[in-house]
Amino acid sequence: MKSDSRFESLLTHIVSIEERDQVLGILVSVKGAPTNAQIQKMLGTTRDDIHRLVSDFFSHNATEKARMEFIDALEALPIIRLSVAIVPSEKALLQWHKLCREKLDSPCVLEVTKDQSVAAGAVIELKGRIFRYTLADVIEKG
Amino acid sequence: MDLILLVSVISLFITSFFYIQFRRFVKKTTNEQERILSRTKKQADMIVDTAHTQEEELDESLTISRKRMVDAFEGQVEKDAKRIEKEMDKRLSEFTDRVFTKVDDHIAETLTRIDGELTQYKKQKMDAADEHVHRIIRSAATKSIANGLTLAVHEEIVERSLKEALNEIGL
Repeated sequence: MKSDSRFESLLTHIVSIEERDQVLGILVSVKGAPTNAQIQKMLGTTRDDIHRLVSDFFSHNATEKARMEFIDALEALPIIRLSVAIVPSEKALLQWHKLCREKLDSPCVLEVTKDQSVAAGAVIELKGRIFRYTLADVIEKG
Repeated sequence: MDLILLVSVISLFITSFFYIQFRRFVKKTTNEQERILSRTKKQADMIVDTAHTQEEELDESLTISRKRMVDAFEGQVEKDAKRIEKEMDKRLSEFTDRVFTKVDDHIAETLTRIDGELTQYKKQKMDAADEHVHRIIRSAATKSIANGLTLAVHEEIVERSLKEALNEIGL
């Protein structure tokens, strides 16, 4: 699904489902366009580039309609769920996100869950299908 | 007159004669009667004696007969009791044999069944134990391998998995 070009740049920078939820949290809690101070306060610890991009977006689209459309676009983002045995580094997350975005040819978000039973590899839920590439399964099959 | 006297005398003689004859007859009859009575009495006594004797003999005979019958009855009862006892022993022995045969068969069948069930149970337990041990070994091996990998290697494996999944759905 191709997203609105107005949001494209911003959406591609949202990597995880937590970041998407934080941005959604701002958008549903204000009326009209949020101010820079509101964005700064509510995004908190998210990456600086997201702060900047959200602020830039609303500086050019300071309307209620733009806010609602942005909410719809965020909610429509495809989610790729990964169960992995480790807490991945930010570098790895960005790499995985880039890979997915390029393959899907559209913005998407990752939902990464830590699951020790996986041991190594990942259980991936993608477009309603589940793929198991785990060390636990390999050893289990023996 | 003489004739009358004569006739009277003759009548008297005749009457006397008949009287004497009558007395003789009466005496004879009385004697005969007494003789008959005496003989009858003797016969009656004899009958009574005979009756007593026969009664005694009968009593004795009855006593002997009764004793024989009692002895015979007791003998028969004893014989029957022994026969019944023997028959009962035989039947009891046969019944006991049948019961023990059935019990033995049932025990043998039960033992066979229990033996089979025990073998099956033992196999299940052994299989479960094997599976448990294998699971522990697999878990230990999995953890050991997983812990031996660096974060970078983990991330590399996840990335490869992700590529595989994306290729799998034809994207």
